[in-house]
Amino acid sequence: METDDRAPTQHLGDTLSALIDGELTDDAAASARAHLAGCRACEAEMAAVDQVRSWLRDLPPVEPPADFYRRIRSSEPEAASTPATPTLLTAVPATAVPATAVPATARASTTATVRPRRRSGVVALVGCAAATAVVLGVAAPHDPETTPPVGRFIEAHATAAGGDPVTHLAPVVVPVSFRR
Amino acid sequence: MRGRISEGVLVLVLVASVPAGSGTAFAWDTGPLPQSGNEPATPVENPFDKAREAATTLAFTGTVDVDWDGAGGRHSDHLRVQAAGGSLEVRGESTLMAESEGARMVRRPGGKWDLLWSGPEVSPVRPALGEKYEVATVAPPEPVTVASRPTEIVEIRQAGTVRERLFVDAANGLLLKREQLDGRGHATRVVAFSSIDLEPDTSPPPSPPRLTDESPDRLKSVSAPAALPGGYRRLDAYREDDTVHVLYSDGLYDLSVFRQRGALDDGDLPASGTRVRIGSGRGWVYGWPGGQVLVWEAGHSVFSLVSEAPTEDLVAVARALPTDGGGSVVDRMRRVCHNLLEPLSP
Repeated sequence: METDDRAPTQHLGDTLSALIDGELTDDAAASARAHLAGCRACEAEMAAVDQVRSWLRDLPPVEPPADFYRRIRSSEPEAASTPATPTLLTAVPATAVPATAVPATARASTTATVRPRRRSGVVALVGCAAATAVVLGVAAPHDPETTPPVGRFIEAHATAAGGDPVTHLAPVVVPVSFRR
Repeated sequence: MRGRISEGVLVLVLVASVPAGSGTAFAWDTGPLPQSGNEPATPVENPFDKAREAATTLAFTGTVDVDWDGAGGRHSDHLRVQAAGGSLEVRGESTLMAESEGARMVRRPGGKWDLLWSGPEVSPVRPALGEKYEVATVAPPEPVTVASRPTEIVEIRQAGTVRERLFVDAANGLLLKREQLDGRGHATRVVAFSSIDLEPDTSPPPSPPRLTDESPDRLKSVSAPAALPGGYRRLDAYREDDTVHVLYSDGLYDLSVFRQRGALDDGDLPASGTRVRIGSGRGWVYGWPGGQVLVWEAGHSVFSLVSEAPTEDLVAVARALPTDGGGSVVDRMRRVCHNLLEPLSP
C-alpha cells in the first residue's frame, strides 16, 4: 500500500467533484485548493477526473431516437411539462465509454464519480434484504411459541416411573420453581 | 466438562490397570462407606423390586431428607412419610404426594387433589437391571445403620463406576437411603430416612375428599424410537392435551420424552440452566431434586427429557432423537428473521 507523507488524513473525495463543478463557496474552494497543493493523491485524482471529462467531451454527440422525447412526454407528463435539455453527461451512461479508451490511471480514479451510484446499489440491496426479512419473519407462517410446563412434566415422569415409591415421590414434593 | 471427561477416562484406565484385590487403593471414590469397589460382584435380585414391595406392605412413619446439587450449590429439604394398609404418602411443606393401589395423586398447595396416575392398564416390562449394570452387595468392615436401622449395602455399577449406592433395611428390604454418584464418587443426590418408626400406631391415610382426574391417556401406538442410545427401551406412551409422553427405561433409570408441537419460547425458561448443544441447535439442562430436565427445540417440536439418569445420558438421547424436519435452510432463515424482528413487535 502506498503512502503519501504530504497528505493529510482526510482527502477531498466528493468535494473534488464539487470543486470542478464550481459548486463550492469561495472559502471552501480555497480550502480545497490548499489541500490539493499539499496532497499528491488528491492532485492525481483531480487530473484523472479532468482527463475523463476531457474524453467525454470529445465523444461525438448522440442523437436520440426520433420518438425519444415523445415517449418521455407521454409516460412522464410532469417531467415533460418542464423540458430539460439533455447534456452529454446525463444522456450517456458511464458504461458507454469504452474501457480501452480510458487510460488506466483515469479508470482507477473514476471511483470518485461512480461512488454515489454504488451507494444507491447498496441501499437497494439492503432494502431488498430488509423486505425479505420482513416477509420471512412476519408474513411466512411460523410455529406457535411454547414454554414447556417443566414442573408438570416432572410430576408426570415421577408418577409414571417405576421403582421404589419413597425415593421416587419424595423429590417431587420438594418445592422448586421452573419459572423465570 | 472436557476436564471431567478426561479425568473420568483416566480413572477408568487406572481402575482397569489395577490388579484385582487392590481396590481399596482408590479410597478417593468417596461416600460414607469404605470402598470395596473391585470385589467380585455377588449377583443379587433387583433391590428396587424388593423395596417397592416393602414400601407398599409395611406400616411406618418417618422423616426423609432430600439433598441434591442444583443451581447455586447444595440444597436440602425434609419431608414426612407415612405408610399403612397399602397406602403411602410423602408430605412436603405445601404439597403431598400419595400412592394407593397403584394410583398416584397430589394435593396442591391450595388443597386441591389431582389424580396424576390411575395405575397402568398394562404393566410395562423394564429391561433387566443386569443388562447394563452390575449389581453387587458390599460388605463394609463395620455395620452401617441408617435411621438406627441395620442395612445391607448394594452398589449398582456401570463399567466399574458406582452409579448408585443403596442402603436397604436388613430386616425387611425397605430402601432407607439412596445415593446417586457422579463419575468421581461424589453423591450428587441423596434421599435418606433420618428417622423411621416401623411399628407405628397409625391408620392408613384418609382418601382424598374430591379428586380431579389429570391422568394422561395411554396411547395404543406412537411414532417414537423403540430404543435410544444408552440401552433405553420404550415402555409406553401417553397423551395429555397436546403433549405426547413416551416413557423409556434402561432398567435402572426411567426416562420420559415429552413432545409438544411449536417453537420453544425460551424467554420464560429460568436463567439457571446449563446450555448444551443439540445438533445445530441448543438446549438447556436444569437440575431438580430427583434428576435432570433437558429442554430443546428440533424441527417443529419442543422436546423435554426428564430423568434421574446422568446429564450425559440425556444429551446423548436428545442428539439421537429424530426430528420432523424444520431444519431446512428456509426454515432456519425464517427463524433467524423472526428472531430479528421480534424486538420490534409491540
